[in-house]
Amino acid sequence: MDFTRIIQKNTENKLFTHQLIHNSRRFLMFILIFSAHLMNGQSGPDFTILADKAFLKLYQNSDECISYTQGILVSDQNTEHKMVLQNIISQALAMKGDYVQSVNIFAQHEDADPKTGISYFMQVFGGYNLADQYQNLGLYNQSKKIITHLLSDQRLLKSNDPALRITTAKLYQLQALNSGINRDYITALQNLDKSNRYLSDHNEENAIIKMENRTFRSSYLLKQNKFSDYKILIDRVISDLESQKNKPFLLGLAYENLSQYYFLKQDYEVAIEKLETALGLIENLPFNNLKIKIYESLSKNYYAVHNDEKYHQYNKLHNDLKAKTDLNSKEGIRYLVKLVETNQNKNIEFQNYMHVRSFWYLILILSVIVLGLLTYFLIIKSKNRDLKKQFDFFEKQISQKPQQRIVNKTSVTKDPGSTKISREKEDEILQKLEEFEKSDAYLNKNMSLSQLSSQLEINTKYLSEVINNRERNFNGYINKLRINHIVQLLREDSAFRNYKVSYLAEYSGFSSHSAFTTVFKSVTGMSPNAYIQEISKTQTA
Amino acid sequence: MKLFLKIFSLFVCIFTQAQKTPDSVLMKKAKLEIYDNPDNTIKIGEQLLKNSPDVKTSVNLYMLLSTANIAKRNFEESLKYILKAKELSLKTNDPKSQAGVFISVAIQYQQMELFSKCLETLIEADRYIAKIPEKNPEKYTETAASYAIRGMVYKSQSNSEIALEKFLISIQNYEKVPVKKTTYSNMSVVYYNIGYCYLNLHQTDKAQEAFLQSVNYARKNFAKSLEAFALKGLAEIYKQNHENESAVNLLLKAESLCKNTGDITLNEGLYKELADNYLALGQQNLYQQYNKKYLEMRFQIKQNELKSINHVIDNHNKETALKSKKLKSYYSSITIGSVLLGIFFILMLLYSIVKVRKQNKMFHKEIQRMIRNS
Repeated sequence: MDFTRIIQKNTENKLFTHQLIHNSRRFLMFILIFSAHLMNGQSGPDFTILADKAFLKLYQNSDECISYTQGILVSDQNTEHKMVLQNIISQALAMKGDYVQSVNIFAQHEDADPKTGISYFMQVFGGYNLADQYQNLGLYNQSKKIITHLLSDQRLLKSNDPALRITTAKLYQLQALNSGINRDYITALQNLDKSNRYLSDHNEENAIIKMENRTFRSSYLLKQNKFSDYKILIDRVISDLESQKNKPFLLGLAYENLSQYYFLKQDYEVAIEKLETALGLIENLPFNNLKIKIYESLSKNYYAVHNDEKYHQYNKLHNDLKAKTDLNSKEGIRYLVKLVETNQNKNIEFQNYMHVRSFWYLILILSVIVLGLLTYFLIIKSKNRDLKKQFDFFEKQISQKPQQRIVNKTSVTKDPGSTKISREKEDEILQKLEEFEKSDAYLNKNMSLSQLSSQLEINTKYLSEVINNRERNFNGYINKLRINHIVQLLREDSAFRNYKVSYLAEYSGFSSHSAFTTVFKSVTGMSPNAYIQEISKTQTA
Repeated sequence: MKLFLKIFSLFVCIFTQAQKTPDSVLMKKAKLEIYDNPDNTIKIGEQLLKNSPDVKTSVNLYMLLSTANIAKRNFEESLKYILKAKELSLKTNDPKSQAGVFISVAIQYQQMELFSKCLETLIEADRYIAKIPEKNPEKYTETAASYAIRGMVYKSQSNSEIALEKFLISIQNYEKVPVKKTTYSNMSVVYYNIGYCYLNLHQTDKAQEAFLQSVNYARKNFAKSLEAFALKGLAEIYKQNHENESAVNLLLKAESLCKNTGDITLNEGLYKELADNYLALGQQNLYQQYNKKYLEMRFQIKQNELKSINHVIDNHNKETALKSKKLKSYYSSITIGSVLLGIFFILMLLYSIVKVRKQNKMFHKEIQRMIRNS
């Protein structure tokens, strides 16, 4: 059955496309996973080693760290890696007190943001980056806001990805510093504890952050006047760092920190000794921010011991360097504010782009469904038209059995304006046509209007007019008669059903097989073959 | 150096107050919010500018917009307004107000630390000052201001000798002005700066003299904070001479003078000096106490400086959040709309499909029946 077949085809089609979509999705997933593996597999471990080295250099020599990291940056194409490396460079620049360049590097990474979506790590790391910049430039509230927002996400806190965990540790550390600046030492210490929880011992980066946390912890203990706890901790930090010998920045920071303890104890000589040691460690390194701190403490201590010469010397050094970095920081702020503005505008654009994209996907899906349904509807609608024709045809056949008359008086719709034939004449013609229909003369292949008129002895003109009043034209009239005839034959005589269609065409007076099929279909609504099948099925059943 | 800049801002304040006449409530509001909410100031300023009645008000508004933009650290915008103010002031034929505008512009440049631009503008200002008829008091005040600013510029470039020269010319001009209260304040400020120049040049005697003059002029105008500033200067001389006790006495006096002024810049300086002197005296507890206060003040000043920046960032964040929310609601509404429309079409089609299919089945059955029955 045609109809069911169509439905079957259709559903099969749907199933097929569904499967296709499913498969392609699986395929895409596969490619994605595969490529991710490929990338990780090739540059993953290498990158973590290189980045770890770069991070270590951050605490050894800013300039070296910058050139080393830039070297890696050039050869790495991974956006996440680039982000991490750029953050290291930007931190190195901030440690030098060159905030403008630091923001500049930060800006570059923002520009490199591709429009092809951002991974969760990139989102978090981007937030950390910005919070770091804000903190460097003294915008502690902004930094705090960003970190609070980031750390409210359980997904980050519960993640097992080492890159995310170290970032979380750094975020807690930054938050501790923000609290420390607002003299909320209790919260600061709590944040340091949380930071430690995310740290492991498996690489330098973790070890350094841990050490930094210890140093910060000691300084907060000092601020809280917990001298004994402080002394134990800082001594351990210093002895650990002394044994490693490769982190002059951290050791300098620890010594500077220790000097504050001696300063408070009014043991200025020891304080100076510690500070000179700290300065000796980083004197030739570009850690300007730490230098400012050391200079300030030195000038204070020398002032306390009334060493005017040294006091003026370090005071001047402190003032000059501080003025320079302050200026730089001011400019950095201007730059960052502008950057944040453009960045947020870009972000809005990006959101807009994403919305538009998903909207068009939706429209596409909806229109595909609607179009699919529409096509299906049109198909079954045309099928419906055919069936209606068949239905009408068979209904007529049944009602006019045994031999239907095409031309009869009752069906005449006379157009009085066009006709010139008298009523009597017309009746006469109709009578003759009826007789003609009863004969099988119409099966003659050469049957034409002129032949019929001469056969019936009627004027061609009159005949044509009478026929045209009832049928479309003479050919349509003859064809209909022929098809009616053959249909009846097929139904009544099973022998006919075994004939070839071309024979049936020949028999019923059609010049070709195709003409017969077309006319048959136009009259009955189904092809001759379909009709034969249908009829044999019902009769065998 | 930083301290002098702070003193200078005080100076600017006095200056602008002396020059500008109050225009309207709105303008006052705009001025008040310059550092707290520069965006709002800019909004009000731009509004006022649209129906500004005369050139003078417009110039004032341009200067206001420029200052607000400095608070936002948007120097480009600030410069744009400065240039507009300059252009506009040329339209008036009053050399006094022209000179006034140029002086304000110079102050703006000085604040932006664009020193060469500042000096250039001052040279231009001098041309208009020269046009003011002799014996006019404003000629002297403007000349004095012009030289005072030059002095500030050289001082911030650590060029004490030249700065001193300029300040002295400034003082000479102020002395020619008939008695006027604001002049006293300005003179006190200039003397204070002179004192520091001498101090930098290690001429303590002259420095002391200058600080005493500064105290003198401050008292004449009952300007307590200026007096406190001058006392602080004096104390610094004692500190240099290791007379810490006397320095502490002066500083404590200054502290009591400025108790109610709430000038955190002044407080910062006083606390720092007090802490230093106590440290030298070996009084660690008092040192701790004042050092803590000093650090607090310093932090506060820094945060105040960043307040407007914070505000700008917050505003922008808010705006972005709003924009993003709008975007989201817009897209969710059109998404819902299109989904509903799509569902409507789908249902319509499904309904017609079911209907036609039923009909087809019926036809099919009918036809089969007819064929069978025939």
